[in-house]
Amino acid sequence: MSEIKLLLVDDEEGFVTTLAERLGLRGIEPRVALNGARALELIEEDEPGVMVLDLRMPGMSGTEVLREVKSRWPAIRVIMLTGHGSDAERETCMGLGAAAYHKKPLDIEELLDSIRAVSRTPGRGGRGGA
Amino acid sequence: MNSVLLVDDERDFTDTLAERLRARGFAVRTAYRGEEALEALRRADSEVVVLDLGLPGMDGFEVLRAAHALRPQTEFVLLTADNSLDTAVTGMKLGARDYLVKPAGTAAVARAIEDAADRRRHRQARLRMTETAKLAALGELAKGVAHEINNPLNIMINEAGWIEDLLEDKEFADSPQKPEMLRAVARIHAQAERCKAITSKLLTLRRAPDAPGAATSPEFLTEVLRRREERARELNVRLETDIPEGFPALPHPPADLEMILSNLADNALDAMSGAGGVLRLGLALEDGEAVMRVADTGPGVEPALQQRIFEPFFSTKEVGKGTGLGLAICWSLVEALGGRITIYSEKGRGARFSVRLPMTERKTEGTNG
Repeated sequence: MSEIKLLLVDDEEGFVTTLAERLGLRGIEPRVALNGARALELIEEDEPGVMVLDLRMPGMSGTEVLREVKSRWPAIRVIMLTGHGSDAERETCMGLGAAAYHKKPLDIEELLDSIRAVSRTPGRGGRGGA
Repeated sequence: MNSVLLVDDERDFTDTLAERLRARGFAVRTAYRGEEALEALRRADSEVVVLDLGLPGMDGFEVLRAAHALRPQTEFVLLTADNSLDTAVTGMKLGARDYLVKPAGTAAVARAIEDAADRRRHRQARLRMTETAKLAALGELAKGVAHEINNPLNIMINEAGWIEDLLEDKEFADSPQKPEMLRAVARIHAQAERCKAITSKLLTLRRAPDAPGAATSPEFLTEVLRRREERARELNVRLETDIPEGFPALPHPPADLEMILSNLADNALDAMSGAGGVLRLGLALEDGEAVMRVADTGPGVEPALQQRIFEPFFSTKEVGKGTGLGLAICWSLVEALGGRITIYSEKGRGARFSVRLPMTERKTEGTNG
């Protein structure tokens, strides 16, 4: 039984499966989606408390997924994790209601701290969201 | 005021012409022999050289060739007694762009000097534009590389962590190889951290500056310099500031100016490691712009390298000592702030970086005074 219901969304399969294993060793058993559409399906099945979301993905981009998630499930805390970070993107994501924004590569302990921290705070919808 | 070097062996003619040109506002130096002219150019640049081709000793064309090699930016106006096409063509091939046939009146010489100075200014403006475009392209390239490297780097760090996790399994508890494996993984981690430091620096190239509206006080800049006191003492370097009393705050974000000054100051300290010296931070207002100068008394930068030092990954430091990104970051930040950065250096006599920044804010939304 996982202490936090977590969903990992990243198109880099090699990265996200190992990350899931490593989080598993630390008491969090995440589910994994390799694209935005699959992520939305998994959320419909069972709403997670926290979601770690990659920004650049083929198909739906991270910001599109974020917008959709925050409008339909405002309680989900979304942590953005990106290899392409810029200040403007951070602004956009935080404005859309992301709970945290990290740049890859990120140490697993830092990611864990972030997941635990956001899971303790209540979720909120995006600024001016529908 | 245009600076001119007159080179002619006819002393009376030269001295009279020099006087008349000075009366017209030119800064004139004179030389009566080729060797003398080259020595004068070695000591200091002149924007324009007026060169008599019929010199005794070192031939006029030889002087032209050597002077052009010494000061590629200098404009040459040739003075010749014969008006044959051959002479003109030879001169042009060696880098001169204009010539006058003797006897030439003061007015004609003055006009030729002004035209030559104009040509020089235009050429430098063109060079600067080309340089700006090149550095911007290199910055974009470097940033693209950083983006592409970040993803595999991320996977490498994650997998190294996974190995560490697996080694914690009881299966490996008694393995005599475990310490060695942990050491190897730790090294992978450390090297990956090094790559990460480089990619994150690269990603600051061409980044948009912080939000407009912030201002930086001269005291803050002094403080940035003071933070280097300990290292300066170790290197036997004296820190000096030259900031006029009551100098106004600069209308640019402190984080950006700190990044620029830190890079320049650290470079200056690096340049003086070994021999010691003086590191001076100066602020001045010139032509409505703020000028921040960072000067050292180190070995200086060769003219041939002065253009290249702003390129990403260009470094004169030993391999592993510098990433070659400090000045590239400075350059891109200064450009983004609407300013420009230049270096003045003579070999063996230190280097001085000047950062010119507008005293008006970058964006003035809705302020129509």
